[in-house]
Amino acid sequence: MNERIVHIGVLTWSALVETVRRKDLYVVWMLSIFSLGAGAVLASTGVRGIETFLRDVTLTIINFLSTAVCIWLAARQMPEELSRRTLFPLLARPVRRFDVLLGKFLAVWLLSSGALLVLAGTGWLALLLFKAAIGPIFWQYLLLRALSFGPIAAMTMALSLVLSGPATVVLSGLLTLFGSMFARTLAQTIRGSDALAQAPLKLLYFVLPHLDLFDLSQKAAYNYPPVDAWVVGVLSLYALAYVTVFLGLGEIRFRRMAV
Amino acid sequence: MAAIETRDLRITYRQGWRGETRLAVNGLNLRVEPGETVGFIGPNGAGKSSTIKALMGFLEPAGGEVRVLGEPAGSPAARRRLGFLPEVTLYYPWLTPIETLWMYGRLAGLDNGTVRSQSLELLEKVGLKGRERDRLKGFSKGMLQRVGIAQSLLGDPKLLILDEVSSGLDPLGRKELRDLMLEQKQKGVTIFFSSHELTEVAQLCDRVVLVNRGQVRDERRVDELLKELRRYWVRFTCVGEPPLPAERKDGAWEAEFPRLEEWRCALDLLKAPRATLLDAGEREGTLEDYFVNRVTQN
Repeated sequence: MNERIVHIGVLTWSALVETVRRKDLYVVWMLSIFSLGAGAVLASTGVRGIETFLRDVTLTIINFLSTAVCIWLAARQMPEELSRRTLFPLLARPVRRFDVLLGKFLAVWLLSSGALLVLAGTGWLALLLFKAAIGPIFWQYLLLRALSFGPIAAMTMALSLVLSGPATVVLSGLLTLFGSMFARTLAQTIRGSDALAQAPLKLLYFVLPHLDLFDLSQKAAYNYPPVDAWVVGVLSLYALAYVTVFLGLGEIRFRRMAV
Repeated sequence: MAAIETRDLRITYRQGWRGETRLAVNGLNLRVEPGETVGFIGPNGAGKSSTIKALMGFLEPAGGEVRVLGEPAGSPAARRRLGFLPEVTLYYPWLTPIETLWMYGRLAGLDNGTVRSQSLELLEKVGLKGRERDRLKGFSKGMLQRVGIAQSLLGDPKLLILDEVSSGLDPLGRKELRDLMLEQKQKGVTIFFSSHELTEVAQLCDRVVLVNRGQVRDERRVDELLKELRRYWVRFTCVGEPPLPAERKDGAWEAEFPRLEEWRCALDLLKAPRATLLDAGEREGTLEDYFVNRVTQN
């Protein structure tokens, strides 16, 4: 068990160092500085009364960018290992294929959460400049957003073992969008459709992760009070379940794959 | 216990939308004894890389049995005691050689202290002293291969499996690689490597295994093979028909013999007054002659 933890840790470390040194996340820093600048400019004009709108826009931008970073990072991990042929010396060591997948997944999750923190930090500062700061629900918003990166990264990594890099980004992006925005619409559609159409729609409804559950941006924009702790607890378990399922599927594919 | 053993190994690949299977290795039987250095040679598409992938557990064979160091191929127990160097690996461009070796060393189960001391020693051996902390993205193909050589030797493996390793190296790099392999051979490490560099194979190996169309076609000891490939020749002129079967070349006759006795007989025949011996000697055989001959035969 100790050896496996070392393996996972080493693989996570290498993926983290690679991504940080490659300056992949520079785009996040640059966008953060830009949003901070935009907030400062807007604050200097003295416009007031659009605080909720600004909070909404800021959180939507944070949501979009941090999710894009997560998908982008997850989609490239395994295909790069294959194209650079680094997977061969890696698998020549007594490392389990699942541990390779898990190590990479953890790196992606940590990096995406780091990017989220940077974006959220500058977004929060920008809102503070405009005197539109968000209350304690902001921390819950961040925590749940970071939790949502688990199923997204695991799903993307599983897809990247089947599809090409660009196809993975597109499909994972669409599924994330669907899971974030249309899950409730899907539930309504099921209620209104005939019995024949209900079965596949229900399957889709239960198979896809309901990423909308992790999104507190609307509540945060309107400065709602924090949600109950048990909700966060249940959502953590929900995210963990999807991570396990997606990484499990990825592992089945990876184990059968001739590299 | 053999270092490598395959019995009736079969490897297939699925192709296209209909999943048609293509047979890459068809009933390959191989045995490599501990301490042996074996060259695995054959034309492109013969099944060498597929066999090596099966030995490493990178793919699941369609049939047969593969054992490495007495363990099932690909099992952690087998991988713990072997070093593998693939053809051309780009490694992690944003890591340094010392970090790369630390990573592979830790994955091999070495502790921090051991991996650090072994890494420095190995990097010096492969000629990368002074470049330990440079990022790999600035390294040439040959330099990356040196990093690869160092990573394959981490943890003092009992078996080294090398797949077309000298392809990215310059002549100096090849010589250094050969010296390193000879050092490992002297330490009693079993070396199994596929290569198209037959001169290298002849210099390093105790035995060659020729594979073609997914099957072992021939297995020979290198010293015996080279002796067998040695040729004795005579060049002479004569009045009228030559006294022995010969070919006309550049205004003279030339004949070649596989055995020393035949050559001596030929020299006796050329003592006749109507023949004049111009030159005679022996030519070392090459693996290339053997390779071309056997592959075209198959």
